[in-house]
Amino acid sequence: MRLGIEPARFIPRLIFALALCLPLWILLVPTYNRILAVGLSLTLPLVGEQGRVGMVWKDYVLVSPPESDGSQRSPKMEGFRGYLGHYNAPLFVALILATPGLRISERLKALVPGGLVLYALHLTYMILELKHLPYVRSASQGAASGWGYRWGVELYLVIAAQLSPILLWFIFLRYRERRKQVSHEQQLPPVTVRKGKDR
Amino acid sequence: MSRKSRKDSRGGPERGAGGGVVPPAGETPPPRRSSVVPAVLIAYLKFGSLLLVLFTLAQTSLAETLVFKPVASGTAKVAAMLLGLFNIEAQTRGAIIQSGGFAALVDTNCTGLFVIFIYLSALLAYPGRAWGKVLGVALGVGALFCLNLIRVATLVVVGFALPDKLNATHYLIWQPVMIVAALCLWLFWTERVADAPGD
Repeated sequence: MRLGIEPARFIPRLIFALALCLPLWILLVPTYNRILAVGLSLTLPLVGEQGRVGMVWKDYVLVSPPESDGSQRSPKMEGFRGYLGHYNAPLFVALILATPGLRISERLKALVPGGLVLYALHLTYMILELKHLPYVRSASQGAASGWGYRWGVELYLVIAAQLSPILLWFIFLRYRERRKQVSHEQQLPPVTVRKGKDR
Repeated sequence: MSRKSRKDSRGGPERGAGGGVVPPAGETPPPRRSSVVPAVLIAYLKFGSLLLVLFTLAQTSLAETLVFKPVASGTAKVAAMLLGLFNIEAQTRGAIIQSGGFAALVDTNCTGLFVIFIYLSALLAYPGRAWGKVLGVALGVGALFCLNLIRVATLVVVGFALPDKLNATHYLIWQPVMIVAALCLWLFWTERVADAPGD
C-alpha cells in the first residue's frame, strides 16, 4: 500500500529539484506557450473551430476569432494566461528528478510520456474552455445552464491541474513497483507453506 | 537467456513435500499482488469521491458564506499581523489586504482550503488507525494554514515591491509549493504516523 518513498530522503531532494525547476520553467514559459499555440492551431480545426489559430502575446496564448458570418459585428480574440494552466509541468519534472533510486533512462521513460500527457491535458483544457466560454459567460449573467461548465473549469484549475502531476507520479511509482514485483516473481519458484508438524 | 532457463538455473530455497518451497522458520510468505491491488484501487476511489464531494460542497453559496468568506477575512487579518511583525504596515478591510499602495483580495482560491481538501481526502482515504488520522488532520491542516498565511504575506510584499513578478510568484511558485507541501505532509504521515493495517 505504501509508495515505498522514504520522506527523509525524498523531501529534501524534492525541494532542491523544485528550486531548480521553477526558475527554469519561468524562462521556458514563452517557448512552451508557443508550443501550445502550435498545438491549438493543429487541433482546433479537428473540433469544429475552422479557421482559428493559436498565437502568443506576452504571457498569453491567444486564439484568433472565428470567421465572421455577418451576424456578429466584432468577433473577439480569446486569450488564456498560459501559466494558469501549466504551472504543474515543473512539479512533475521535479517529482521524477527527486525520486530516489532511478536510472537516467528510467527518469526519461517517465518524463516523456508524463510530459506528453500533461501537454495533452493543457491543450484539452484550453479547447474545452474555448468551446464552453459562451456558457460560462451566460452563467456569470445568471443563467443556470453554465453551472456545470463553470464547475468543470474550476475543478480543473483548482484541483485537477494541481493533482495531475502527482497522480502521474503515483502511476509511475506503482508501475515501477509492479514491474519489480513481476520480475521478482518470475525469478522465484512458487511459494507454498507446508502444513503439518514441521517445528 | 530465456526466463525459463534462468529460473531453472537459479539456486533457491528448500523444496517441500508437495514440490512447493518452504519458507525459512519465522518468515512469512510475501503478500500476493492480488491482495494489494484492490486496496490501492479502493483508496484511490475513496480519495476521488471525497475530493469531488468536498469540491462540490465548496461551490455552494452556503459554503461561500459560512466557510470561505470568514476564512478569507481571517487569512487577510492574520497575514497583515504577520507583516506587522516585520515592520511592514498593512491594513485589512474584510478580505482585502492593503500595504504600500498595493491592495489584494484574498479570494476563495487564496484561502488554501482547496489544497487542504486534497490533503484531507488523501489522508482519510488512506487506511490507518483513527488516532493517526486525527493527528494527521490536526498537524497537517495547521501546517497548511500557516504556510498559506506566509504565501499571502509574501505575495503582498511582492505585489508592492516587484509588481511585474506578482503573477509568476503567485501561479508559478506558490501554487506548486502549496501542493508539494500537502504531498510532503501526507507522505510523512503515511510513513511515520499512519500505522496502516497490513503495512
